[in-house]
Amino acid sequence: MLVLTRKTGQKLIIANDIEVIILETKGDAVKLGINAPKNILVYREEVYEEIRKANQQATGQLNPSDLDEAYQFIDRWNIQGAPKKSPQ
Amino acid sequence: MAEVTIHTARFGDINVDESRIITFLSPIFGFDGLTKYVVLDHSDDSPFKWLQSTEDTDLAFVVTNPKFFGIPYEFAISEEVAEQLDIQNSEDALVLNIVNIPQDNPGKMTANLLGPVVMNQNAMKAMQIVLSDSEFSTKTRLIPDDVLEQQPSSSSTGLPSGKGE
Repeated sequence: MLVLTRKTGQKLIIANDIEVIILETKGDAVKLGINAPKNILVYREEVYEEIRKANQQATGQLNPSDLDEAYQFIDRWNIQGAPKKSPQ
Repeated sequence: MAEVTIHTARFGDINVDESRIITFLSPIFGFDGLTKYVVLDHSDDSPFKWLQSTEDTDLAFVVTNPKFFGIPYEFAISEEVAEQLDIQNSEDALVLNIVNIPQDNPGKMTANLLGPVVMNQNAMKAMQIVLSDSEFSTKTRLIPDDVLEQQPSSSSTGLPSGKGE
């Protein structure tokens, strides 16, 4: 890993067009500013990880019959706002 | 437009019009290298759809929109995302939330409202986005416990599949 020391107000340049600025440090928190092209999306790592895990849990081995069962649940409990299979 | 055959583990071989194939500009998080999907209907009035990979036969997500469950769900699409997906107005956009259905307890199904899939349904371009600084969760219950605890509305027995044909 590349390790660099920077002071408040100093910048890093990554791949010519991404700029990272150290805006402020307070205790163990560092406030960063990032200027990047619009197609470069920046995420907080823990949020990205949470969504990645949720995606992987959702795939599992769910079969069409499992989804049918889930749908029956909604139909049977007459969930508010859910479409009805057989209108009264 | 030509029809193409998609091989799937769950539904066998299916033919879809090429124009229905969605290109993800960046992969769904955790599924690197897979950018082509197709939306398949579950059943006519079902709030669910399948988001089936055309590149991995096994990979399919169940998706829905929380509004079908009476859950308020609104957010602003960032300028960056709108630009990448070429979304000019809200009619272009379709939002799909990935659903997690526990096999042993489907009533406790949840949807990921924090990381929705946003799609331009005219351009057939999509991406999963992160609603940073929002109150949304990756595990929002679609059927709240208090509703689950009630007796089923259309069956007094509480037994599953008790409905007449």
